[in-house]
Amino acid sequence: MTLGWSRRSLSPALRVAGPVVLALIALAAPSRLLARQPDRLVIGSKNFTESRILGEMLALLVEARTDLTVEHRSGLGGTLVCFAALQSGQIDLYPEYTGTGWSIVLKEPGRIADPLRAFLHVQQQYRERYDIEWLQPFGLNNSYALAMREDRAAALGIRTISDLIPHGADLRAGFSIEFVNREDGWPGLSAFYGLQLGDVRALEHGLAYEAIQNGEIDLVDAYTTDGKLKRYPLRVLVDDKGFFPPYNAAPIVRGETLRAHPGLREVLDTLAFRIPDTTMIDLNYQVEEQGRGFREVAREFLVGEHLLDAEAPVEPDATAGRGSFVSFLAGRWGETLRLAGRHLELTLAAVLLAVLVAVPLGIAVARSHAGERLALGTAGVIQTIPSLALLAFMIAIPGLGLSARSAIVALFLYAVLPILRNTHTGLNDVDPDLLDAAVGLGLTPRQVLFRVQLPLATRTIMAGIRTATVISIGVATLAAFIGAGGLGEPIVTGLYLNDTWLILSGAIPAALLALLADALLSRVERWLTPRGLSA
Amino acid sequence: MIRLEHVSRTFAGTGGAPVHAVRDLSLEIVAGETLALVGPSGCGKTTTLRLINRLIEPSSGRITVGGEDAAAMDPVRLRRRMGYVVQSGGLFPHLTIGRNVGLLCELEGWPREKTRARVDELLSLVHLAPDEFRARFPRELSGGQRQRVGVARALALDPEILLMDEPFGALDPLTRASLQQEFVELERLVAKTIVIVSHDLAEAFLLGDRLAVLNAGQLVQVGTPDDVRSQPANDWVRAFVAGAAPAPVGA
Repeated sequence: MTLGWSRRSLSPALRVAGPVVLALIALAAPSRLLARQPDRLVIGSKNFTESRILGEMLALLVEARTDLTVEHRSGLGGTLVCFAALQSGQIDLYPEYTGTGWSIVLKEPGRIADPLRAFLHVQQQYRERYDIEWLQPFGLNNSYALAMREDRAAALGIRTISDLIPHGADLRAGFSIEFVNREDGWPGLSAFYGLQLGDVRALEHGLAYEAIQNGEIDLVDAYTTDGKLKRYPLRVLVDDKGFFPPYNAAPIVRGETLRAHPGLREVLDTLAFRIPDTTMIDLNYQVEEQGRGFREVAREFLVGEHLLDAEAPVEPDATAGRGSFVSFLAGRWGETLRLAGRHLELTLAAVLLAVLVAVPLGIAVARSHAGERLALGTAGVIQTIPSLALLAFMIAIPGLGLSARSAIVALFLYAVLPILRNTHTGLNDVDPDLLDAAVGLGLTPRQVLFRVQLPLATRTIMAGIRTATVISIGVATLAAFIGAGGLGEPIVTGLYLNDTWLILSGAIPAALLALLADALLSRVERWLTPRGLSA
Repeated sequence: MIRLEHVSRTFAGTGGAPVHAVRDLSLEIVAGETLALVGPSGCGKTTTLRLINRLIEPSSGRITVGGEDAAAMDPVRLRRRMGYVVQSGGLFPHLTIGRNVGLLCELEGWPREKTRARVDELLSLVHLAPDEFRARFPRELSGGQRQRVGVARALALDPEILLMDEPFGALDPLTRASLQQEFVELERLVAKTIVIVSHDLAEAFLLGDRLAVLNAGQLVQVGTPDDVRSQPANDWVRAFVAGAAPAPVGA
């Protein structure tokens, strides 16, 4: 959820988001998972295709070869979520990557290139620190890579990254924005290999694939098991000097689970080194490009490898559901509701705070030009700070940090201006003749405010609150960047995964929420507006 | 009842030069009379009215109400002793007619029943059937009806004094004429000290027991309508009464 495909999202902010996510998971742990029966095995997987396929394979194997009842909790929100769930026993195992364990969980500072050393290190550390076992790896290494148009690579005789060096000046690259900017992406690679390219452009990943197909660019960054490598005629260049860290996948299991079920390790180890990169590319391709179900693809693979009886009864594929966008959304219904709830919490807290501050402030400055200029000026300046920058700024404030509080404070700051401005405008737009009449009749300043000005300004003030709420619902999607949750989670994850459906599964509900809130508040506005004013 | 003694009021004009809205004005308004402040626009008649209920404070001079120095009184208490009627009624659009009229009673903490009875009494006084109008909102009323409500509202606390700023100015001529007639009757009924600002001489002659004619912030003549008509203080008044007043001095 929060971290999406975590090993792809190594921005410092997200790395620190761990504790928040752990806390959220602890809070959100469904009770049915806590009350587990002993003969039940819960398998987790992360929220991207490859992890889910691997999870399905493990589930199918355990189902077929043990007496355990298996539940596959697929598509959990990223590394820290999976890891926290594993540690707390909510799941028994999930497929993990060595590079991810290295950097995200163990937070090892150095870089590592040797796959075997990386594997042995994480295996030992997990065992000692967490009583979690890394079993035999599947064989695949889902790392970063550079990929080149096949015909162009063939013409130039390029197989490795080093081969690019003499042709660098003639080559045009379209790298993902993240890859271009990350030290362990293009800048690091360029320095490490001494490779200069004629043109390096930051492109959205999906567009980059289109661009390379059209011949507009020659090189893209890719994941080594990406299903798109099969769809497009691309040659993955060998990382001959070993710049990219290894991301070998393997099942990781709770020590406790292995001790409770002595035969389990053997069953899980049957997949050891069975799935090379090319196979994984094909499996990912089948799901992502051909729209087949995770379970179906996993089963077919296992049957082909003679690990599963083709005649075994086929259970309904509860996890596939990526057939159509509608069924995809339907499958995420519960999750979406949870996220929407969180989203509303953040927004409501912020807007409520803003109302409590901005309305009295608006009243206070309504009569003073200097105060008005100061208050509106300050709020206006805050409004111009880009949302992400404001969030990042909040993180640095002691007591806020990477928490929902930061998000709420940032949203609050955005919500203040529209409410303040409208309160101010609403009060000042009251017909001066009416104020004159009120004062002349002998109303005290307080009575003028509460009996005349505020009632007459209600509609304008409410319009400000509506604007603030709609803005907040939009900005709150950015809360996911600091691990504060909300409908931004699938959006952020989807952006990293280049998964339009996932993005939409957050964006559509967020938009609906905004419309709904606006409609609801317009009703409140009508209800609060004195009857004599509603034309 | 109301005395203005050498009252002046200056405003900062454009360019910083002080503008005399009212200059050295002395005037006594007798209890129970209706005094009409008349003069061309910008002559200071509205300023004079607003000085009485301290919507504007004098720059110099003294105003007494019932012998008390107005400047020493709590402005809110002072204003509640004076009903205030403005052009177009000045009704609060978010309040019903009943609550507009009863607002001051409500603020004075009257029991609900008493307020209600007073509202009905006042609406009847201005010829509006209480049952029909009490629950309506100002936007549902005609201009003339709104103005009657404005008068009723000003009378809510039964003040000794009624200040009226161009009360019939925004009405069409027919409505104005009928309201003026009604007002003449009302004056007899309520027996208040009334100060009415008007730019319409005919109205002032009709409603006023006495007229105070102002020009360029200064009092030019005070007297009964007959006095002003038959013995104008100067040529300017003569011309003004004849309906052909020259432009005010300094305008």
